[in-house]
Amino acid sequence: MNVVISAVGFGLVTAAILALGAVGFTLQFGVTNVLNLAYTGVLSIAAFVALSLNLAGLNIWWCVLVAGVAGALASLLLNLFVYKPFIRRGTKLFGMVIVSIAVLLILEHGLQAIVGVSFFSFRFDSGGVVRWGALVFTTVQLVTMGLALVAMLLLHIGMRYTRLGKAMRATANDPSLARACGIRTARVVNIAWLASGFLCGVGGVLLFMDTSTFSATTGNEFLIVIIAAAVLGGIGDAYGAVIGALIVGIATEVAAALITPSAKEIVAFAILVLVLIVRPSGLFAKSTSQKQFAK
Amino acid sequence: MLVPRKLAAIATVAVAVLIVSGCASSSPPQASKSGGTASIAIFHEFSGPNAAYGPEAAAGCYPAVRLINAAGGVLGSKFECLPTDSKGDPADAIPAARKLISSTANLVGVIGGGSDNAPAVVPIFNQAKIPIFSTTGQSVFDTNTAAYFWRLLSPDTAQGYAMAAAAKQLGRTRVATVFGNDVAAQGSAPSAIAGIKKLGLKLVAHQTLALDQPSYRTEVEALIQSNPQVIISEADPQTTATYLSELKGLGTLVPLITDPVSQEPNWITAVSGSIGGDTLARLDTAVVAYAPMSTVAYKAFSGALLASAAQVPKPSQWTSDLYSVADYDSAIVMALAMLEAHSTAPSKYNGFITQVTAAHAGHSVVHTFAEGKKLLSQGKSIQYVGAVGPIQFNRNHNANNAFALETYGSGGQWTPAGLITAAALAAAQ
Repeated sequence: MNVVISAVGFGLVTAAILALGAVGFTLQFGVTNVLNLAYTGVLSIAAFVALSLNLAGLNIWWCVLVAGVAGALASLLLNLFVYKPFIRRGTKLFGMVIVSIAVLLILEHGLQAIVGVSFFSFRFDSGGVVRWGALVFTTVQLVTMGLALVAMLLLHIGMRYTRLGKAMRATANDPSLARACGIRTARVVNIAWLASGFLCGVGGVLLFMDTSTFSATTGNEFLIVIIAAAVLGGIGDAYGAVIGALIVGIATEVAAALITPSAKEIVAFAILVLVLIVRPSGLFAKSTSQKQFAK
Repeated sequence: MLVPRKLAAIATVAVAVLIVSGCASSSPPQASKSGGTASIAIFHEFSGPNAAYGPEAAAGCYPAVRLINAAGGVLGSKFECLPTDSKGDPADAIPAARKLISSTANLVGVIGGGSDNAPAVVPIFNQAKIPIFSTTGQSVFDTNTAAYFWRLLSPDTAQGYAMAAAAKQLGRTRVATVFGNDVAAQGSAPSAIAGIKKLGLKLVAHQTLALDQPSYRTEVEALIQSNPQVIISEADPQTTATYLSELKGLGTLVPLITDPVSQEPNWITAVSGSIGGDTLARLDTAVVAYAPMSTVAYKAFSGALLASAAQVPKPSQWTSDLYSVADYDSAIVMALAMLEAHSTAPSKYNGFITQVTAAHAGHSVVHTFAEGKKLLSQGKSIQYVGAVGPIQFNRNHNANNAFALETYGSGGQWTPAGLITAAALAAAQ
């Protein structure tokens, strides 16, 4: 039993990091209907911006903030100069997917050409070990979970109780109607990209602190897991993405404990498939497949 | 709009030409005549997650080509290294191999075929009658029948037994094994485990890790509970760094026994970054092919490598990399075999590779290309003993090496710490 409790604890750390990535991914998709597969390319860029400052002496926690800002800017620029022009030209969903894959490859290989093929590590003190019964965490892991929790709470408050949040929800539901009601959907879309990129950047640094080392291509390893968590919860639903991240994060660690470590990915994706069989749009579903792109 | 007939006909012919040339597969290159440039392809990944493999092999090819050309080349031909991105998995590597063969008329040999695509591409090069020297350790090649496949380093199965023997030699009785679930790492896992049991050691934990996960905390916790005295491990840099970082984070780092992968610069960088270079130096013992750095052949390699900075960035990082050393010897062996065969044609010199490497009475031992060329020009027979040591190919074109223990110094060099004797290795099998 202790083994399972430990695994759940470990899974919470993974889930916290995954939640940041999945929520950022699904939030942007929910508002814009653009499947941004270049998401982890932005994650890697933001992480390397943060790394450069960290290696110059900046404290890691300021680097997390820097990465968020870098991710936000990169995301916004990606939309303004790549996705938006294609949408204006009438590019349909499948075409946009191809565009985003192309962008991902450009970002990945471009970054590798700049930073090389080596591995890098953030400099920070991982702190001591904290034990609560069978639960074991390092100080950094506790801070990571705390940051993720704060981010999710702020997002909840923003989406639920602010005019901007209401505007984002309205745009996500029906961009044309939202525009007709006087909502400046273009501004809402830009803010969605900024928010998505911020969460992506923050999540990226926390992820690479967790893995302890990373290269130009490490971020891309997590794209599928991020998408899986988002889809599991219901693509476009931020709360669903959090639940999806919890399920994926905890299930992988428990699978490693009870079955075998190599079953991690199998179990996570098996759960995804089973959920989608029962609820094809995810746990907290609202289908967006027929939506137009928000402009 | 109707397309004019002539334009349609031209387009049809053009498309047909493109289709035919694009489908041209495995057509053997022209036999290389004397003079001109002979190309040795470096067929490895130069992009993607394993993009370090290409530069690693280049660090073997370019020094060899430097020395070959400095000694006047082969039969009037100068040599060049031809980096060719295999892109990793077979779906990409196969068309890349076919394109290499069909588009490179002066292709005389290949250094390449990593563990992720060797079974797919070796048959292609074999069919094209182009020798391919690979450092893959996969056991499928232990019983290789492809005439044009050559392997200078011991297979993974032998590596695994050697790692078990090392644990015994270091006096460890409680052993854990932690291997990545990729084909390269899994090559030595079974024999490592079998060797541990055969030697009467206690296998306290056996873990197969999914690669590049964000966390291995559960696995690490399970390992700590098993209380090992040593961990025998092979996994990629990312996986190993994350795992060891979490082991350190939970306060229980354990001595490691690793394989030649741990001598690759990327592995050292990643793991040092996660647990510290001093800690790595203190804990890690690598079990590698016995290739002393004091030999004439090794010194020739390292000198040529350091002089090749224009083609090999930061060359000093590869001086201890066994795979680079093996690739260097591969190119030298190819060139010497060509001299012996009096031909640079791959289909001709392939049959002379064992002639220049096997130990026979009356064969003069040489350690460099220049030495070998000189003696061959005098009509003598040679045995090339390279930077990896003697190269004795068996009937499956595998060369088995002796094994050594090496420890990592925080100064960045590996230091011999002992040998695995043939008897110790046999006891583990």
